[in-house]
Amino acid sequence: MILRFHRAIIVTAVIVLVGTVTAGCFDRIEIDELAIVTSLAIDAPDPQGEQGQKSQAVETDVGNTSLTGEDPQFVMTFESPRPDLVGGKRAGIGPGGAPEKRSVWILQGAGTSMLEILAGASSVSNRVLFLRFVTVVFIGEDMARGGILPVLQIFQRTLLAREALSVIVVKGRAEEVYGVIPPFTDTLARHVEEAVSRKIRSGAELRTNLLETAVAFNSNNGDLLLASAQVKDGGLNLNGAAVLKDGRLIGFLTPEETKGINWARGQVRAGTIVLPPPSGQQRPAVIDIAISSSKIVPSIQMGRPRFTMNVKVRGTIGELPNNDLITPKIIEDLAQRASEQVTQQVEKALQKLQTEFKSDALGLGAILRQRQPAYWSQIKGNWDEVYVKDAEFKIVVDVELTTAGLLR
Amino acid sequence: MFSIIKRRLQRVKKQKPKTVVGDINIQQQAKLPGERVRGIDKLSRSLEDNIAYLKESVGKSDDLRYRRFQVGDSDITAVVVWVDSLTDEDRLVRGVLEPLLFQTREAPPPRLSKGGILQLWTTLRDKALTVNAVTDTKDFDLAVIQLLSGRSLLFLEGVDRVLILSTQGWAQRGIESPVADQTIRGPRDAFTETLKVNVAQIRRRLRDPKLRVKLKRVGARGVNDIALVYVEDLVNPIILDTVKKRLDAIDVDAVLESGYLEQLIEENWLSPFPTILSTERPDEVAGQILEGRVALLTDNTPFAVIAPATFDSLFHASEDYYQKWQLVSAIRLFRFAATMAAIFIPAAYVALTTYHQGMLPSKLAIAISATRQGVPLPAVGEAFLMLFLLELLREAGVRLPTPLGQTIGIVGGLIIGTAAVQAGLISDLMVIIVATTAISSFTIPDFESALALRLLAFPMLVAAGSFGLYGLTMAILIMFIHLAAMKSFGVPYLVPFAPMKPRALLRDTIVRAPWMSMKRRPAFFTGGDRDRMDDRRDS
Amino acid sequence: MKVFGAEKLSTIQWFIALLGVFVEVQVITFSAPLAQAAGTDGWISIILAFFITGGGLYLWLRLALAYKDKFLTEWLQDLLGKPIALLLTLGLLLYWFLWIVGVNRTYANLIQELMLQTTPIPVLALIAIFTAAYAARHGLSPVIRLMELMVPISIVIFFGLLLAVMPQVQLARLLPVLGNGIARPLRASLMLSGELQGLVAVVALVPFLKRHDQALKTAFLSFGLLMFFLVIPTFLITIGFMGVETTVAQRFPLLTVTSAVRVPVLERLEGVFAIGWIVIVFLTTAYVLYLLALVTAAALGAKDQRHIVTALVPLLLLGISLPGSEVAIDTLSQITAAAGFVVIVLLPIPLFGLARLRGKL
Repeated sequence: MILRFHRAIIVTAVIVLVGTVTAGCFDRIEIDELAIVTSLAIDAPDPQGEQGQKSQAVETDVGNTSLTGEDPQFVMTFESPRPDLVGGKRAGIGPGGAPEKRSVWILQGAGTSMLEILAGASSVSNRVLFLRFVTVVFIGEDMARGGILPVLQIFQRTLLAREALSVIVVKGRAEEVYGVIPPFTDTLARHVEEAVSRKIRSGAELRTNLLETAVAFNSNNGDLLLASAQVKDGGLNLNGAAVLKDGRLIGFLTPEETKGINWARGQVRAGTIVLPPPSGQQRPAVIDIAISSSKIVPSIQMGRPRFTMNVKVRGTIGELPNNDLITPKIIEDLAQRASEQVTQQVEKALQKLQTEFKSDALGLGAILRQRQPAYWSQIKGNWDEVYVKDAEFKIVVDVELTTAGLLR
Repeated sequence: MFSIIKRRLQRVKKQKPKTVVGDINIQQQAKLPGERVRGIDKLSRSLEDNIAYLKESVGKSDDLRYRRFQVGDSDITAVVVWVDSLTDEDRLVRGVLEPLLFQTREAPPPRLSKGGILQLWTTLRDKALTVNAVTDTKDFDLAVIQLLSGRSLLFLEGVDRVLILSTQGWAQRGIESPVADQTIRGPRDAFTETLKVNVAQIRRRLRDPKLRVKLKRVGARGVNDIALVYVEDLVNPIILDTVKKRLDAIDVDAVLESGYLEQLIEENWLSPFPTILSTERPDEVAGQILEGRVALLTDNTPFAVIAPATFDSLFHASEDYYQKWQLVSAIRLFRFAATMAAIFIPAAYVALTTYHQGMLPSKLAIAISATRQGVPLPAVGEAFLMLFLLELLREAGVRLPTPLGQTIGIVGGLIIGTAAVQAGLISDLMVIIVATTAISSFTIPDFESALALRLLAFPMLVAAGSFGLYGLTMAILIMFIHLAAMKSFGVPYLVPFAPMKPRALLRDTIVRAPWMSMKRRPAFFTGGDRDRMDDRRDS
Repeated sequence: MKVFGAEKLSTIQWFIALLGVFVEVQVITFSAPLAQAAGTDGWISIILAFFITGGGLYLWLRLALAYKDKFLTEWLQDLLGKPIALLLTLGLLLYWFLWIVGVNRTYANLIQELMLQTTPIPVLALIAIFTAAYAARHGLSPVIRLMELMVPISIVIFFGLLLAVMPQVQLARLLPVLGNGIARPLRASLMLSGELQGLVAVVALVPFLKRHDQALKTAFLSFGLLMFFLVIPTFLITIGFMGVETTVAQRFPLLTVTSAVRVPVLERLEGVFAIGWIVIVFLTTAYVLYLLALVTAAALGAKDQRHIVTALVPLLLLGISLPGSEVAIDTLSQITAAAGFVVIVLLPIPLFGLARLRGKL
């Protein structure tokens, strides 16, 4: 009897054995046991003592969770939407207002490492904080000035969607952003996501994600640009850029300077060029930008590196200061003036980077290394100096305008 | 039980009796498989003895009739025996009794010699009887079987033989629409329970001189006629041979339905995937035979069985050939996608929401989390529960009388589903998923395969619930290994996907090419293990 | 020796088999060590490695085709005499064993890190090996059929992914070409040639082929397609996307690249990609397991390979679970690469010479 079915017996035994050993469904966690975190804000610890000045934005404070007894290194604020309240299904619930009426939950903790903070958070949160859905990380100004490398290192170890994660430096304290009530969405993260990915932008914004940041950090020795934001009048202003050198925040660029940088990088995809009215006119001429591109060509002139930036802009005429007939001469004139303005913007921005911040945030060193390897091998030890002292820029802007208009 | 069948399948074959519709050339001394000796094997000259033997074998059923009469003016007695319920009395009277009673009056009285009796016998057989088929045999077993099939027996005093006369006729269902295989376009006649009618329906469609109908008998007690139908120069002789061998090896009491046949001759009875198809439609059978397959029609059931079947047979319906190829291709792709959905969607949902939440789009994740708030069961449990309920409803719907059945199915599903969601027992997303699964599985043309495939969803669910997508993918791989290793009567099951036959792949699998391009019959019934190409014919 | 009940392989199947056996986890991981060894010139190393390994492949195939109806172990015996051949066979078995252990361990690590964080490695490995054993037990034909089924689809999807990442790739990162001289890429190419395991394993399929005259051509077509359209673009795109420094820091560079693919509804495709890759790893494992069992069976005179497959499962499991740390795994892969170099590139030279001396049979 046994002999006849021996195969069946063996198979069954194996299945039972395997089943017993592997049973336990090791990684099972139900989705409703998770607290989905959509955005993070990281700050340096408040110098006035952590209980002193708390921003009103913060809803829940788990207090100083430094288990090791050392001073806390980070203050992290998490935003987690309440699933059953998202979408305003209940009256009076929305993204703003009193904590019990908010459809997101803001949690804050301090500690020496993120894992420690997360562990501390478990004393307040009944659900596991799940970080895989984080799409925005806000870094506070003081944290950034101290260096973003620790921040990057946090994210190296945890599983985050690296490419889709926006990194934004906030002027002031990052936790303040959670005082902003997003007008259309429930979570601030979603608001930023949509803002960052929408097609029409002003041209003075920067989009940086974690992966790009890491790549730039590695290739450029820590000189890079990050998007910056500011909490202003209850809203979140996303233009401007933060400049870092050696991984530390050095300063911010104004929107205009940011635009200059974007021209240089060929990343102005939409927006306007506003030409101030010439004397005697009141209204400015406005050009709608359709597309732009730029190419940076390095060359060596008398032992100095020169970077030629060829910027091409194509746009249509939006507004004119008067209702003159649009003649080719006027177009040419406008193009000329636009080109001058762009050149100016780029120059100003480049100069600020070079002299004031001394940061090769545009990755010019890498370009030099790629295109002029011989020269690079000579100066690479001194690049910092060479960049500040010897680098020259030549900006060539080519503006092409097409007409548009109802009137004549 | 299976081992018994298996053992019997491997027994050495005995001599096969040959019978053809028309009742001529019955081989003498033929024995039936699974031999049961009915008492005697030799008739005697004495009429009374024969009758006595007969009564002993068949017993005293009240529907057995005997009619004694004298042949002509002589004293020679003859007896006609028939089974009342199976005989068309009209044929009996006009074909047998009238000729014997009237016409033989004119015959000169025979001399009562041995030779004379035989001469009389021969005269009766060849000149007197007007039934359409007459068989002269000494084989008592055969005679009894034929008697029980509705034919009449004629015994003559002094002759140790019996005449088997075709007088069968009985009440039968008329040709109706198919119940299980619905189509939009295509003929609406289905098979009935009478073998002769079914064969006729096929013959009407294929008036090919090469069409062959071979009868076999299976079953020891409930002897059932099986007809093998195929086109001689199209069929792969190896497949035909395999089918025949396996039929001969069947040794059961009765093959009451073609389903018995299916299970007894298929090679992978462990697998939920069918290697034999069944259908109620003669046009389907005709189409399949023209591709080189073999059809088995069974008496007393309208379901014919076609061998071999491969993986893409699951997605083919006969009306696929009656419509334009673009539509058909789209529909077939659709069916394929629906099948995959039916098997994998519940499992994928469970895997994603339980193990890999990070892989969901964030909006979806939040939405799913919202629907699952407060639900007591884990996602796996929910899925199991709902799938189980689904099968319950379906089965209940089948058993109930028709008008009620449909309603219960729909109403039951809706009510139970909605109520459960409102009570917070399951999440509404799960209801949607399970409903989608159900509907997807109903697109599969072959109803039995649909059930088999739906049942596959359960082990997938277990795999997904234990190890997430990793487990699910492994389970899918195991399923594919199983399919890749499976053979249907010698043809690899996954042909023409693997081994890949690029031409066939584009012609008639999950898409269908225009008729202009389908000039050659699918060669893979001759491909696979073997390379013979002589069954192809350019049309 | 009668090769157990296998069908003959058609040319298409031979083509696909080479791809299926060859491609495994390495495509995901190789960019990092290569970038470290050769910098941006790694792609030159790949080209060089193609020729180096191609030479070895050519010699092996010529040998196998010369003895076309004999199985690998048999003709080795013919050529070298029984004792040496047996030793060599043993060496080959060990080499393949180590290879497959390394592959599965790396992949299990990947899955654990990415998808199932707390599931222990032996459990993941168990499932993978069981499935592979199930396939191997059925014999060669099902494995080949599965490859036919899955390899084309996988390759197409892979290409699609690479193409989808293109918009975000800056090929300028690959400049300058040969900025640091040819020495580094050259050395790297030697290292790389050893890592192209699986070539000799495929050579074992020669007696199963239907058409021997096309075998050589098809093999090189397949190998060339692999290197020039799969491996090189992968490297180029990886570096172009992330730059050398970041690539070197990754453990699974290709995964990070796939995270760049933007599809309208889905996010985070890395997971899907990682899971899809199971198929590739599985195919290789199933085939090698079959081969190991077949060779052992041939050597022992067993009737078929099935029971040996079953016997191999616990061995493999042990092997996969054994390395305790990254360092151990790295050492394992280095040993395997070194062995690979010897087997694929160096070994056929004397063998070929010997065969020549003997008049190539």
